[in-house]
Amino acid sequence: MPTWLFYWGAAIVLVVSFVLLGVLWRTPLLAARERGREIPSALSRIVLGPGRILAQVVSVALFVVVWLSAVFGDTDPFRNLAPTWIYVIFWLGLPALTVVFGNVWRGLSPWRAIADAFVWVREAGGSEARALAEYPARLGRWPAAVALLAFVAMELAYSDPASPRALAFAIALYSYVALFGMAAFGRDTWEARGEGFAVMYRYLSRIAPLHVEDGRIRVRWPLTGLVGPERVPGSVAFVAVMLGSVLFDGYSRTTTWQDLVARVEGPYIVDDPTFGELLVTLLNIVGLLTGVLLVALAYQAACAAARWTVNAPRSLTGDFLFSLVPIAFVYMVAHYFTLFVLQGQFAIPLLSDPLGRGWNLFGTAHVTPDLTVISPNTTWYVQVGALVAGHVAGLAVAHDRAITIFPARRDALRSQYALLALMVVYTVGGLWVLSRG
Amino acid sequence: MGVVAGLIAHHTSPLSLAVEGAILLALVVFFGWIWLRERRRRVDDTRRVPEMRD
Repeated sequence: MPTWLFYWGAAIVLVVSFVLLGVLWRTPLLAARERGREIPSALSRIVLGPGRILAQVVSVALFVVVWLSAVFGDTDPFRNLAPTWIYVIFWLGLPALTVVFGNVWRGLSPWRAIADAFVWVREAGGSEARALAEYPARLGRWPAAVALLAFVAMELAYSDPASPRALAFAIALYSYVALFGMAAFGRDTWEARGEGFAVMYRYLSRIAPLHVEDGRIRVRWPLTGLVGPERVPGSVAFVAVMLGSVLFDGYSRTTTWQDLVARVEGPYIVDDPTFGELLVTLLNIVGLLTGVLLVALAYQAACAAARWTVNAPRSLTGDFLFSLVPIAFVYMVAHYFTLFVLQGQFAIPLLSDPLGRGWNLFGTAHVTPDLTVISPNTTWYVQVGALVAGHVAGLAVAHDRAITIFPARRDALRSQYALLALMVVYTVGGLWVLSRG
Repeated sequence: MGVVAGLIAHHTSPLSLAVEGAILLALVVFFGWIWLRERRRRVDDTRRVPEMRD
């Protein structure tokens, strides 16, 4: 089937879904199902008690191993655990775990584990562990957006992102900021506002059928956590970084972008390669920021058009933001599915020899990854399927919000025309970028 | 290559060109119809502010 047919086929699926939602989904469904029901309390106690402590201990141990690998290990990224662990297992595997099991980062964050241990020790010694300062509310989630942007800039813009030594420096810097933020403003506050990964996993966990409330694990329908408005400042910027960075990653693999990079770097590649690399890094940063800005502007424009359509008395920007969360997730699936399946296999031998010293700690050092496990056709179908499903889910979430905030059904439906156009643009744009990469 | 030639270069037969053209036309008609209808309605409803919940 020709590629263009997928673009327009996806657009038609969205239009048909939009019509069906309007006809069949007449009352809000998500809010009533958001809490779900409790799983057996004994299981909750085990998972959130000793289970979480065990996860935190393992997480800190792994964090130390990865950092030591980055500092002292082989400088060849393929013989060092750190690049594969950070860019594949952590960055791509954890989102998948999160949408299935909920916010597992709460138990796996090494920074949270270190902060928890610090508080535990202080409290055991009779001292109270208190935040040093009040978090300025106007900052909202901007620090988290900047933190996530810094990480994706390192991955996508920097000329040598897999360099173990560069990663060692980045881990140290991020750890300092994360621990300082938790000490200054409190663990929960910093995780909700400033720690980029924690904020991202919180958003993604709203898709999941499992969540924690009042110290108990509850099970609910997937996507029902994407209910309600999101009006914390910087939230749109944060979601735009999630989406725009993946969009830029796809576009940066097209021949158009590669030609541009070659033209910029070409004149300096022999005489001054360091300067050439610096120019490419700057060019990539500009491209990344453009991708983020385009996503944010398209969303803001759609919300402004929705407001204009129904003559709404207030901004709708915060109301539909959660509809972008499933889209951010499927963008990740579509772009990185093959990388995760193929490169992820290299983590098995690397775990036995994390520093590239010829060790065989777990007997897996000689496991050979199977790089033929997925065909190009399978990849394309997974990409198309994921993108279409994610955008339909986004439409459904936005539709549920619309019929929640507008008592008159006519207003609710009219507010969704612009969101439908936005989803069509995101889907066709996303598929176009994928097919060109 | 001109703009139009560039836009249709990926087609291998007149049939495929016709199919893509028809789908695009359907989408343009769909969104155009919505746009015109909403523009007319908005002119009628300018003073009506919808009730909203949080």
